[in-house]
Amino acid sequence: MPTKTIAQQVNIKASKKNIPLSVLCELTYRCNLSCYYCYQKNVSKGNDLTSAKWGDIFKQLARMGTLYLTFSGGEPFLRKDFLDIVSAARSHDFAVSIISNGTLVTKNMIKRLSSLGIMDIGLSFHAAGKDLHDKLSGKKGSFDKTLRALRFCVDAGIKTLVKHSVSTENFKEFSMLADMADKEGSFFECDGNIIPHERGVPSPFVINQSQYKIFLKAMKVASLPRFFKANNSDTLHCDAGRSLCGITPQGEVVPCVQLPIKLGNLQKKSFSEIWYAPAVTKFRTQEKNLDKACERCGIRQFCSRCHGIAFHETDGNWQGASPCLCSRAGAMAGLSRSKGK
Amino acid sequence: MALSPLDVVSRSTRIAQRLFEERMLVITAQDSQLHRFNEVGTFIWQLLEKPMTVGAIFTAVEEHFDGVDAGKSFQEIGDFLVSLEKKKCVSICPPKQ
Repeated sequence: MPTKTIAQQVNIKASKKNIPLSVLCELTYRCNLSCYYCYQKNVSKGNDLTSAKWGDIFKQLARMGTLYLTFSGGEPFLRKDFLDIVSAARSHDFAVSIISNGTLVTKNMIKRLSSLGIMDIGLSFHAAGKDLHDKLSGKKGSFDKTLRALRFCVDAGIKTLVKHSVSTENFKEFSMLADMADKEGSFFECDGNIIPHERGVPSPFVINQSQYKIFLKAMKVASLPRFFKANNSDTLHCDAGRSLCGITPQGEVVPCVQLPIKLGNLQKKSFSEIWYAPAVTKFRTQEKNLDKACERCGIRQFCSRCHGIAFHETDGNWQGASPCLCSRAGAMAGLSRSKGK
Repeated sequence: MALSPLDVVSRSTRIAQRLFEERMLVITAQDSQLHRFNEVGTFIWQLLEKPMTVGAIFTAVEEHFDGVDAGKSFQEIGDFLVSLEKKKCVSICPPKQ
């Protein structure tokens, strides 16, 4: 068995001891774009937590042992106090990552983020060309602005990721985006998992199994042994609610931002009160008891199960199978078999 | 690299850190690498909350840990500080005149 990295060892310990090592903070559901696949379009917007409240939450998370903090939205740069929030987080020594569409950033903002010592910024690209990207983001000129932001970040020495969701609408773009990321001095991160914007059915934009095969093969995912989890019994489970969690713009603590099971609200209770409450213990127990069909599945070793996607695709049955991820696992199994021949 | 006892060691501002199971975890921003320190490394890192001279670090380690071989520890601590500088966790500068 390959030696585990320090990060893997730390994550395993954190998961066993329920230390929320990694927290994703959604700062607002507001967004200046209207991306075609967005699952937050119908989310109730409500009042966002103030920067002072976020400062208090950071203090609590630092005491709980959190190291990684990711800020996303909506679009986090829509908050006028966003840089102050990042500054408050950095004063508690978190490893800060940001996910953004990049269209609102200026060179000065990026310089300040660089001086604050953030770890990385991920910028969402739907396509490698402006026509398709702008069409899918719902805003003309957005591609040029996101690309400009990418260049500001790279120039400022910030690790920058081109983030991409492969879908039926942009299937041929991933390899061109990978080349673009490389040429621009950034990294490339993509997958075909899409959370549906309508509950109870898979997203209509999820690629089919043949496309999954083409995509996974092109990205060399199937040929990398490290992709397959070391312990097959772990393929179905994840660390949501144990070593990771999410916080919504209104202060709801959830196991993961994609799995909207409300565990408690930080406007009413402290983080530790929520984290050690019976509701969370119950969730952790439930997480160990997934659908029997998944437990007995013949291709479970190829599964990249996500309870959040299962939740949305089945209208709440997060312990059940996800049609989209079953299709993905099938593609992986097919690639593995053809490689073995 | 030979260290002088008067050299000043300062933590980088481009790091993230957390005490985890009594060991310090430090991540450097430029390469996203996670570093985990042992007991002595954690003690030294905590000393560096404010910039400190190499000499003062040696003295503090000797006082804190019983039975330390002064000559050996001098070498080991020096190597550790130099490795921290290589990883961009700290900067080491000669004292201001």
